[in-house]
Amino acid sequence: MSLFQYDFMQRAFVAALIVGIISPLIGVFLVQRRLALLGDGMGHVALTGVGLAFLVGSAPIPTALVVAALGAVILEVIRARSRTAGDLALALVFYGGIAGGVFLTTLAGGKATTSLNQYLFGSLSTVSASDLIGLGVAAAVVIVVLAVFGRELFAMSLDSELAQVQGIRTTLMSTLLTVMAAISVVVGMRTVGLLLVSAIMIVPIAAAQQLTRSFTVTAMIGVALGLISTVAGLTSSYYLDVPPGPTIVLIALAIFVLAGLAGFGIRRRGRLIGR
Amino acid sequence: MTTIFSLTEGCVDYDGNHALHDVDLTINRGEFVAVLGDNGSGKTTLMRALLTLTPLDHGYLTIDSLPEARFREWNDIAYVPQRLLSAGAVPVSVAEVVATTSISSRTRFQWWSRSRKAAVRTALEQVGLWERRNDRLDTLSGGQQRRVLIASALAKGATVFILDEPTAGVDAENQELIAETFRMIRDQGGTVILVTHELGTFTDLATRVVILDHGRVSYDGPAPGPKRAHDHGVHHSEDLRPSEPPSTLFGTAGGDV
Repeated sequence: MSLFQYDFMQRAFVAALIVGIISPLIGVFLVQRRLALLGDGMGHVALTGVGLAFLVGSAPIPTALVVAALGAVILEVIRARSRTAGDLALALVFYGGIAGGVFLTTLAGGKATTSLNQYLFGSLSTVSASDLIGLGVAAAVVIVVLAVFGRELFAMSLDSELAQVQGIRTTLMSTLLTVMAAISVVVGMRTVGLLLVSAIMIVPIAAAQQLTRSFTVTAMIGVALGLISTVAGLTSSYYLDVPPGPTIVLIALAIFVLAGLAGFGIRRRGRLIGR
Repeated sequence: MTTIFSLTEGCVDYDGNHALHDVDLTINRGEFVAVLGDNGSGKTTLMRALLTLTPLDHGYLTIDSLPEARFREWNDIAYVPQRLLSAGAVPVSVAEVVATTSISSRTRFQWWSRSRKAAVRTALEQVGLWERRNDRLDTLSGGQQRRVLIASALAKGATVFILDEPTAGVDAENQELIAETFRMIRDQGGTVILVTHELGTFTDLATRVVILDHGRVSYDGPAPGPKRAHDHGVHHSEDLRPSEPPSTLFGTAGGDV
């Protein structure tokens, strides 16, 4: 394919593959906990990190990682320590995140305001070689955490009280999951963009669960659909000359609609996919 | 006899109302305790307090003779809730739910071992749902889902069971199956704490009955059921409703404390 002759496209594809794998793996836990919008909020918070990076001239990905992870911890503390309802705590952190991001970016002035768009909706040309290293490390961290704590995260997501009675430290697990969501948001911010990155965590899972009957299989099919969405979305973005975020998300949504129709037929025949 | 739970002057307030008021309760290993009471009597709050899910506003709880905050052997205590808190969000198979209870920080790297698989199978067979192991939990009836949760508790390999209305919505035949399972657990020296508004099939199993009324213990004593069951050899639940003193056992007015 001709689009692979460009280095920037090769890098964009590697980044998209990482996003397609990581995001649904975190998303499946968020959907189970009914926190589908958490990724959105983490995207807003990461924007403050990007703004901060513009202002002080640091690298955007590590700065956004640190700020989003801090935001995740603050969110969990607000939720655990106060009687604030979960969604209200989310709202408070989100507003602060987006306001801070735009404020800091504007203060930085110059090129920063124009490149803000690339962070909001993704861009084909901005993934640098050093970005790829950052994304790879962040993705590796997510995979290792899931390998070690995935089962405890599953138990906590299924029933936090039952998990607590098993001696699982549910507050710790909940914080870990939110920090993982923050990391995967930053991983997706270059290709999908901060405003849409949460969709690639949630929509492939929403599509997969139309077809499946177990959590593990839902996660695996979610990853497959996530990969199809990011790769197809990136390709069409190249040919249509539009930002990749919207094409990736529209393709994921189209897959969701198809899966919904297929699931309807499958359920009527009682042949959902599982082990 | 070793004590598993000891609650001293336990108080829990919800918005200024006493859900539990000065409750003293000691439960020993090997007991089969039925905690009875009407809706709002505080029986669920008492159960949650024992599980440390609801913090005490006043009072002191020890588990296995340790202050609750220092108790670590949660693998030994199995809790059967009425339903899962977030079931139905993502499809979850019956086998996945049953295997969940064997997840802990200690078994982090050996969770899906052969013995765990065998425990899941045995537990599902005990509740008669092994054939449904690969089905989505939310395609099962309410009563079947409850049996899945009981299987989860059994698969945990615990010796102490806390059951919240385990037979509500379960048909008569499977109530017998569940009761038989817990009879076996009792006979093997296990501890069962059953929170319910009616004893039903458990009538001849309970060795002790605790009745709560408006957050206070209104009766704590032996269950007449087992004696009668053994004396007369009858097993029909209608016959086994504790008859002495019936007004105290099943009435709402306060009786002996």
